[in-house]
Amino acid sequence: METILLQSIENSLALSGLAAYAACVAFGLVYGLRGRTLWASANGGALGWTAYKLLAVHFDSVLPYFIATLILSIFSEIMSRVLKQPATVFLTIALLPLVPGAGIYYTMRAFVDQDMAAFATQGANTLSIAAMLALGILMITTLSRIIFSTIHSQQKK
Amino acid sequence: MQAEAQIAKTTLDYDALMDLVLRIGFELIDSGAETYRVEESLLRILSCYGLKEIDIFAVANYLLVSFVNPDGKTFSRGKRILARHENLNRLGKLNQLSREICLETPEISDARQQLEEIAQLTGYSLIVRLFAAAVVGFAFCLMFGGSIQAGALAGAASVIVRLSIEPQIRLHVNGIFINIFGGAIGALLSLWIMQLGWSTEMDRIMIGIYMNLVPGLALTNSLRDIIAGDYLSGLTKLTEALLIASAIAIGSGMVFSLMR
Repeated sequence: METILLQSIENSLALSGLAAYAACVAFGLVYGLRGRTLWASANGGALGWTAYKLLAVHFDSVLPYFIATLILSIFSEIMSRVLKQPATVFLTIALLPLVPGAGIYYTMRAFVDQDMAAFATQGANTLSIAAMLALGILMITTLSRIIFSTIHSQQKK
Repeated sequence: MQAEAQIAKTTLDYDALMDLVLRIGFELIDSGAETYRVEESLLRILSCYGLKEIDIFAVANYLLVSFVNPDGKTFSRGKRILARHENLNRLGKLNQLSREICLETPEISDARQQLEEIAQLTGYSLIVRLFAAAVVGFAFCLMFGGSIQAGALAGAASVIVRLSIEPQIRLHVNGIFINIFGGAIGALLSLWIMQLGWSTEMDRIMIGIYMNLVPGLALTNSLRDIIAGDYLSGLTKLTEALLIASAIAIGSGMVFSLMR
């Protein structure tokens, strides 16, 4: 994992953010998105990935994944209210750059090479990244449910 | 109150209403909606038409709707959802439609017509999806530190992988098989690229290809279901996500083991 991080830090942050944006637009096309929803969800993806990259320089753990997920979840909840679309739409696309595809790959490679120590660390790392994404979504989704149901019940009164 | 007054004026065709909500629920699940969204939308629509004792039960592949009309007659129907065709655009439109139905309680035939229009919405054409696959492969290769050349190769390989799995998706082949197959094709292509000496950045090219196959929607969806307390649907979708992720690894792992 460290090697990937070090190599990717060498790339400029802007280029990487741009690549994340392009990737998210492409994912949006795969899931049939159009118009403003497409651009907004791609913005969320670029935001989450850039936040991750910035944090990954300072923290050598899965914490950057957690914080980046918090940020892109907040963005998704806001955009869902602005564009009157379900938050999942934005969240699904924006989260994709952080989904540990690389982790799955390195875990598989370690297994093929019969390097059981690397298999265990890579596997555990991949699962912890997935858990961090889950935790980040959990926090913000729950918070937004509390906030909006409070607003809703007060409007009824 | 407003809704009840409206319904008193015109007698409601409850069978048609049942048909409508069942169809909306079906389309929602088909588009990739979370379970709570399906249940809440249908509950809201039915209560806006002034019905009582509404019970909706949805899981990842089944939907059950029952309600009692003002005359005390019980209506109950179930619908099986065999395959999902995730489309976030359709999901957004359906969500909007169910809100509008609730606000305006239109004639059921009108709502039905609007629903049919939304149901017609399909994803982009194959060409666009192939282009999207190329961009995903290219961009992820770059995001993980790959060179432009490696990115281009990853993009080209992603297009071939997508082309190879597209007919299987159309034939509703089992998702695990599709991803074992896709992973294997991806691994073969990257090994071939290495052998031809076009690039040495095998790992980054493979990551670019992998990202085309990762179950992002199933993962997000399962998490949101679990958060909402729909553990049954959540676990079904989480299992799907984990199996797909393993399938990609198994498919490419088999090729790498055989070609060592």
